[in-house]
Amino acid sequence: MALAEAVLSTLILIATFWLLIARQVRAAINGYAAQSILLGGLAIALFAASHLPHLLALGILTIVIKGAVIPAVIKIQVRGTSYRRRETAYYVGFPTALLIGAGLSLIGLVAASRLPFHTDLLSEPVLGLAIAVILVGLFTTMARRDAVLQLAGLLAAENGLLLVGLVVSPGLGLLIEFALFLDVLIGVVVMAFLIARMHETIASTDTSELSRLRG
Amino acid sequence: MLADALGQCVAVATVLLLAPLLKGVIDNLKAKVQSRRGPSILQPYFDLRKLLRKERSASREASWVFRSAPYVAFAAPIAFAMLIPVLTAAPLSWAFMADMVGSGFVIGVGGFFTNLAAMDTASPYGGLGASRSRLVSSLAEPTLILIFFAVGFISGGTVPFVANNILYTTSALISPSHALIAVAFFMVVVAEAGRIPIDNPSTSQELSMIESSRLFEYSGPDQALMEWGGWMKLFVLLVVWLNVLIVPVGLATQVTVPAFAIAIASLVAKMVCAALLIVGVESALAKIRILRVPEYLGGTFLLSFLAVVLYSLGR
Repeated sequence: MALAEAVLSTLILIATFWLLIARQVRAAINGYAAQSILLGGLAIALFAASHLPHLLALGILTIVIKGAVIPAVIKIQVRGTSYRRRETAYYVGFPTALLIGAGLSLIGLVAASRLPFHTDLLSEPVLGLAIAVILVGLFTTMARRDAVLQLAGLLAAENGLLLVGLVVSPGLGLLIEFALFLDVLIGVVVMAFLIARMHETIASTDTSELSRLRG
Repeated sequence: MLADALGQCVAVATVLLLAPLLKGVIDNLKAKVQSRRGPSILQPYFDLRKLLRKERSASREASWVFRSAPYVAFAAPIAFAMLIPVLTAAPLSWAFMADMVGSGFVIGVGGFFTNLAAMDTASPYGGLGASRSRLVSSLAEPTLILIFFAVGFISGGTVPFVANNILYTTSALISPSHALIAVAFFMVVVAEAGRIPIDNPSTSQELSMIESSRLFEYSGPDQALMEWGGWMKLFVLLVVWLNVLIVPVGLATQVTVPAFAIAIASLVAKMVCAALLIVGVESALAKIRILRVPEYLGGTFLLSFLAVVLYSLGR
């Protein structure tokens, strides 16, 4: 495995942990943007190694859409409020969250070492890191009470899925990936709109306040 | 044998003389980032000259611990420099005095004496700084031990020179577990050397200090030794990070003048890059609250833990 892939996949996991313990909305969005840019860089590094053209397209699309457009959409929605720099609420405290994140990563790494996937492009440790990214991202969604951070966790898990896709089958069609990108972009636009609406209605994006159903 | 000893002396002298320069470069670059002109990169040398000329004064109540601590804090990084590959890839004659755990102990002795001396004069700020620096060090300990384990695991030896050779020559250099160790060790170095985000080295507010409040009672040559020791500590820890873990290139394989010249030049180049990285981190981040230090160091522990797991699974 080449140096770039090892370093980039490691940094992707670290960015996911950063997302897990980020206190401010702004920091979480930046963490997601960094994770996406690293993922795009990884795809481009894979292109340099394998010369599969769609990996280049995938890398550029990841950097542009996930690294720039999606963070910008979320940032525009929370702009103008003091909220983006405020510390957000959470269900699980940060040291505990880190410990649970470590446990989840352990599960991911062990699971990957037992899975019978083999590709020429990326090796088994990267698969473990990718599964760890998915688990930690999903855990972020569960551990935070703030809608924006939940969204960021979900998006981070989606990045992990993309990384698994890269490991398991480098030849995934560009069309499928393109559809995935559009889905994520539309999902983010809808979610960001809902978050802005929520902020407007209850002056907070704390999901624990959404406990009553009103018709 | 004589050449070996000479090489060892050159390595130690490099650490001694370049450590203030590293501090000067970091201060100057940091000022540049903040749109100030900044002090000359030679300023630490001027400070040392000024302090060494002044008279020393100590509290009447101070014991021998207070008077001997500067020498221990100054000698510890020098002894540490003999154990690590500063300039040479091959171990020099004194390199087998201690392995990684032992060298961690050597560098720890300096901090231990500084803490004792800080509490010795019963200055309130000294005690505060000592207790805080113990908090940081005791939390950094598990990470360091795990890093030693992981490096020992990968390289099959715990002497820094052996680890350096193995990591450089085998494919272990390019694996995610190696990258995790490198990141975790850098975070620990930042914490141990008292840089942002753990401690602000240029603060003048006593209540937020960790490292510098321990030196309040010192003056003149004692203070010079203490500060110099602190700069050397950062320098040698960065040398371990650079030469053992990340870029072990440019090291001399035999004791000759050209080989050592190349080694010193490459070390300076690597140090400038490390200084840029530190300046970037210090400019981008704010000092974190003392109660969040356990989270930061817990994060480093997590990274080194994952490194060990990844390596043991990948075999």
